[in-house]
Amino acid sequence: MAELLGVRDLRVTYRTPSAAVEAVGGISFSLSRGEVLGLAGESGCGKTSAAAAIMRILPATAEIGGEAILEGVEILGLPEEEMSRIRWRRIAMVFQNAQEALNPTKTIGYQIAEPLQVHLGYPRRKALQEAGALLERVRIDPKRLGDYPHQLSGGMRQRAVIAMAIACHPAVLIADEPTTALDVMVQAQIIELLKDLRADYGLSLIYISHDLLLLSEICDRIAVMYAGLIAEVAPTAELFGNPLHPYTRKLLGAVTRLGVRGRRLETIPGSPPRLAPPPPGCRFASRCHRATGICGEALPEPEWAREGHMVACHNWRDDAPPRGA
Amino acid sequence: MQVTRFLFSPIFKLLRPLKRHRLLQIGLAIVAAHIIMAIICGPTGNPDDPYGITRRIPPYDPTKSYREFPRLAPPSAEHWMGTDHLQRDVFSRVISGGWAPIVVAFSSIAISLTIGSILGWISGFAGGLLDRVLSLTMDAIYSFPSMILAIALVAVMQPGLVPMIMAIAVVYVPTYFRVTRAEVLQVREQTFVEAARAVGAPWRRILLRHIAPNTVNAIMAVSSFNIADAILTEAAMSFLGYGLPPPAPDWGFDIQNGQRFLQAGYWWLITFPGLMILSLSLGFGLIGEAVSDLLNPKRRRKKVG
Repeated sequence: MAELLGVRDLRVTYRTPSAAVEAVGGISFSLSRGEVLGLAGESGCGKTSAAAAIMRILPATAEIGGEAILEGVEILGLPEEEMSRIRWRRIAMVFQNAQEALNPTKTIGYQIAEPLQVHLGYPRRKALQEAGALLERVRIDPKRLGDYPHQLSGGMRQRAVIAMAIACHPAVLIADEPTTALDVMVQAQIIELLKDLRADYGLSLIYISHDLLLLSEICDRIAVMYAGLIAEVAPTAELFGNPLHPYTRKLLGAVTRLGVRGRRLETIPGSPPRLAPPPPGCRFASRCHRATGICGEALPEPEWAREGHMVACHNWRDDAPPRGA
Repeated sequence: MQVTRFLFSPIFKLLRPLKRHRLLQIGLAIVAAHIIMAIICGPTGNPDDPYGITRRIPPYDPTKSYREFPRLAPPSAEHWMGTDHLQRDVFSRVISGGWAPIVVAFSSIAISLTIGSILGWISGFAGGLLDRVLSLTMDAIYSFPSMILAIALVAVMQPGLVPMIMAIAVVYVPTYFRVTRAEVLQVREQTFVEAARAVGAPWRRILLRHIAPNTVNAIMAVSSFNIADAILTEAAMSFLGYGLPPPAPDWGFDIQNGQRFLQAGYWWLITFPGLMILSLSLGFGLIGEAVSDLLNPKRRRKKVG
């Protein structure tokens, strides 16, 4: 598959007066056309920072390093003027909280029409008509065009935000926890909608979530992040069937599964390390049951365990995967 | 059809609260009565008939001393609110005296609201040195006692309608500036502003379409209270002699004239203009109360459910 988006050694550092916090410590991944890549990890592991860095919407206090090549163009170093032409036309984002991502004083029609007016130069009426079509596409009655965000349900608001994101037919859509605030039924609807959009438009998706089961519903591949680094990347079935990184295993152990009885739900003792500055060595070492001497000294390099399966752990070879867990 | 509904929805939205809100109804009724009175009884602009005496509303020329009237006569069937020491009909003066406070209050608040909120938007949005300079300037104005500042400004110009409007406007600019700036600082951090930036909206559009509309509620709430306040400021200024030049009817000035006779028992000279000032500012106060209640986001959310 052709690479659509390639991210190499992406770093995000937040400078505060007292310290520099390394939120993303050099991650690399690639996204093919039509692929859905999941970005998993607990709160604060840098998922959203990575996404915002690729979108180039981080605040000025953030320093970005590395490169991101979208359709052959390196976008991290582009002047803002050129980036603003690419943003939303080639790469768009669904924001975390639809309630906050919509302006309460503007109708959703206005807000969906806005990118069409700004980027494609549509006149107001044409943009509104197109917005109606987009609403229909995300299964909202186009009659709701004149509604204000507070008149919509949570699921509808999230779908309106998705309509806003796909308005200019981007090649890559970053969905940052789009279903976190929604109940499971509505979650399932949103996932179905995203799957349909992917099939219809050939959309590539980066789906960010802390919920591994949810990611397994939609993703072709999943990248597990821990403390600003990617711990493991593998196709979804491979990751669930043959997890190699101790963190991935613990995460899967903490997932509830229907129909499995008599198994204790695992937790991971401790908490992620402070990243100002990050500790030397493997960042998971302090919580890892398999940690050896080298783990506290050297950062593990990502290695290809097998085709398409990358892991960053010193000891992955020694630790036989518990099959069929 | 959807597009039509989309375009007109703000008007329907604006009229809806009137149905249920009792405070708003009362306040609007009082203010409307005052405004109608001011329009009918205020200056006509016709030099031959400056107060519309030919219509018999007001019954007598409020600026004219009638030789045939008694001096300081108590309220009677002929003179409903009595007569003053210059043999003028108090009722005529009272019903034509509302024009000045209303015009002054509305115009000065309109001016200070416009200037204050535009400066507040710019200051809050731009930040940096501009924000510092503007904030310091506004704080300096704000730190003056408002009456003294207004009087000083009028004294520099000269007493009259326009100087009074300007002076009161200057006094209220910092209020709007502060409220607007504070709102902008809050709104500009919200996700939808970030989203608008990401969508690629130019900064003018972000400020005018996304940030500014979200500050309107706060500005509205402040302004509806401020009008009541401005009415009182106008009355106080004309009481102190910085208002319309006599003999133009003006409640504050009439109270100033009448208070000298109060101890002699001529209560009607100040009671009626005083009640008018009271009812007008009460009317605006009620509207202010209702508006800030209606604009309260918590209440709004409850209604939608």
